[in-house]
Amino acid sequence: MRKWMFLIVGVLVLACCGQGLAAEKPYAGQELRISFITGMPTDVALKSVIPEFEKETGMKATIIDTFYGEVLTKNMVDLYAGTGAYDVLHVESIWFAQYLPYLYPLDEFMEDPRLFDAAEYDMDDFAAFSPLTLSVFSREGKLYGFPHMAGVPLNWYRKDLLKKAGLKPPQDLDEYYNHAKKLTQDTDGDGKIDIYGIALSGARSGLVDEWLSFFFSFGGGLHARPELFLRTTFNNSVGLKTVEYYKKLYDEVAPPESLTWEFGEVGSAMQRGVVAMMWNWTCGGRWYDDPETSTVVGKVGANTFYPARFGLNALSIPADGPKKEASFEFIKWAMSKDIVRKTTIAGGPNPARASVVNDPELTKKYWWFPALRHAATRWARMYLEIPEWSAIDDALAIEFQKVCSGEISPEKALEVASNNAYEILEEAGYFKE
Amino acid sequence: MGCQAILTGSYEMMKMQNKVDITPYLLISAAAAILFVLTIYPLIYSLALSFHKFSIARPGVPWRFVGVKNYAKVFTDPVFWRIILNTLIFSCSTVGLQFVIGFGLALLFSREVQIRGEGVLRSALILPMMVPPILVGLIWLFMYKKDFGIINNILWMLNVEPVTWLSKPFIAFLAIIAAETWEWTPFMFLLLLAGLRSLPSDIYESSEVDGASTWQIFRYVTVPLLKPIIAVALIIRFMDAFRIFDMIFQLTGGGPGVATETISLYIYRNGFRYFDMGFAAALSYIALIIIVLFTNLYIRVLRRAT
Repeated sequence: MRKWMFLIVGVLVLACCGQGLAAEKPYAGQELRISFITGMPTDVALKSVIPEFEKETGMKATIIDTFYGEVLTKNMVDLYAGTGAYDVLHVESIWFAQYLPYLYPLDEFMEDPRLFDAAEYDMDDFAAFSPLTLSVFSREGKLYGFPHMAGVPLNWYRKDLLKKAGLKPPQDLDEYYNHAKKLTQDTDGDGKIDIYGIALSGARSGLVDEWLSFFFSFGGGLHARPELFLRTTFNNSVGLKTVEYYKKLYDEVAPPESLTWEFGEVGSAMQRGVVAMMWNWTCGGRWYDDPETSTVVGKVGANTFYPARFGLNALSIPADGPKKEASFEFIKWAMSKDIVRKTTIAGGPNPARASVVNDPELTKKYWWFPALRHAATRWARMYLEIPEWSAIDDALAIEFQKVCSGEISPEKALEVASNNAYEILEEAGYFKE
Repeated sequence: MGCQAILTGSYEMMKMQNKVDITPYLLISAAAAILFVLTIYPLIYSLALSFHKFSIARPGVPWRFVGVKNYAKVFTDPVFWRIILNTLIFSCSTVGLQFVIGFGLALLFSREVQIRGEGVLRSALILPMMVPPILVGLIWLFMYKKDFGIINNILWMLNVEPVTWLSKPFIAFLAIIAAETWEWTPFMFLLLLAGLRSLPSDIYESSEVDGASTWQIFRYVTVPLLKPIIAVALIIRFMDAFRIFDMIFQLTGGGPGVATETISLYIYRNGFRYFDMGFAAALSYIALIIIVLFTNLYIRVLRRAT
């Protein structure tokens, strides 16, 4: 009798322990399929910290890496087909409007005290980084993603070359060009240019971001409401000045190969020591100090003097994801102060939390953080946040590339690009009354 | 009585003959179902899509019937005509080059006198064809790099000015043709070599006996006999070259401007970057019609020539 009593009590105790464990790890055993962008430094750094999440929650995180150029297509096809292939998505802000119909708002989870402690999480820390940090991924008062990485293009420059030439970092586009002209040089006397003044992001996928920085710098404007877009929004004296400026940079101070470069190749040019300055994103910040791949360790500085697109990325939950609460747990964990700090230490170069970017300890290692903070608060802006932006981006890039390759004049390029952009918006129905 | 029996027997035989045997149909039904699901249904679906306006970036907006508007947009788009021209020039030049080089190599390997190490050489020659096109694009992308690409390194060693291979429209076009030719010449070579080796030797012997020169034998014996194989090789390669995507995607992305953009890339751009599915479907059908027209035209010309 006594044996049976002990057995029953033992089973009851075990059952209670099991219940307790289940309460601690309510999602244990679940697998989350997370879409990341191949080689994106912050994603790479977050991956290195994910075992902590797995240990804490008992969940398994399966990372699905996709190249930047393919991730939109791959994600959208799966989302449209409703395959439920992903539980968490890494969403780029310029594509947010395309993803939006397929994303699940996070407010439901944030309002649940069981799942989210707003005071402890400190959402103001994101807003303190930039006023745009939370608004970019919000629509009609609902938040669709926690900010994951926040970069703004900076002007990166070779401190040693500028010092040798007696120059200070440029403060406007005139100085940018003049410095580049002085720094374009044949260093070994063989008649060939060894160092170019700047690298351009001239590839179709990168050109318009850079061009728009110059356009805004010269005083150009782009209204946030697409229905206010005009054929003369870009096709005006400022637009023409910008196209001519871009062509001048390409012809005189940039490597001819720049027309095929975007941020990776531009960063590589700096690493190889073949350019003196470049407009480039902060997510490559650590490359220049990597002794294994860079020939310019300790020689690179950064400043900012032009408006630039706010390269905000978020982690979001797809509407067809079957494990939304578990997905929210991951996103909440990944974007918590502690983990963002750990991810940054592990190599993530552009955190979206002000407290991390302002951390004096981290600023010693990530010396571009002051420039990033300044750019985020002073210069960061967004474009038209509409699904048609990819088409408009291409419409501009194609014509501007033709200008650089000498195929058409700047005037013709602006006319064609502006008309194409207008027609894209017209066809999408933005001008209907 | 006897006649009745014969008539009844004949009638029974006729009934048995008229009874449809469904066994063959049952046996092929599985294959037919797969063919329908994977080929016929998508063709019908995309044809229907081409008459509608729809974007997967706006899934809440249903298909909107627009008639032939998508097709009209294609034909009135100046970029489309530029891209078709790019595609045709690219297809014809790359297939032509592959044919000339491939045929030359096949003639070399089909000689009676064996080349030393022929087996190894032949295996090495077909290696490019074994590499996935997207990797071929990546390999050539690095080879074409101005600062550290092997091609410019060789030019530098020969005291020739390095070339910016992928930033100038015309040179980028040639660079892609070169890469595509490198990859697919082995296909031509293999097909033509098989054809040459299958030709009857007695015709050659009698030609030699009749005093025909090497050139005469080649022109009046080899080429006519090889025409069917040449036709197959050219048609297959033309259809593939017309649809080229991977290599251009890797090397230039269609730039600078649209200098190296082909129809497949244009369809991809509209379908999978802008998600204008109806327009992309219309483009796809027009590309299909062009390929079919060219193929039929070529077969007719070939038939007339033979």
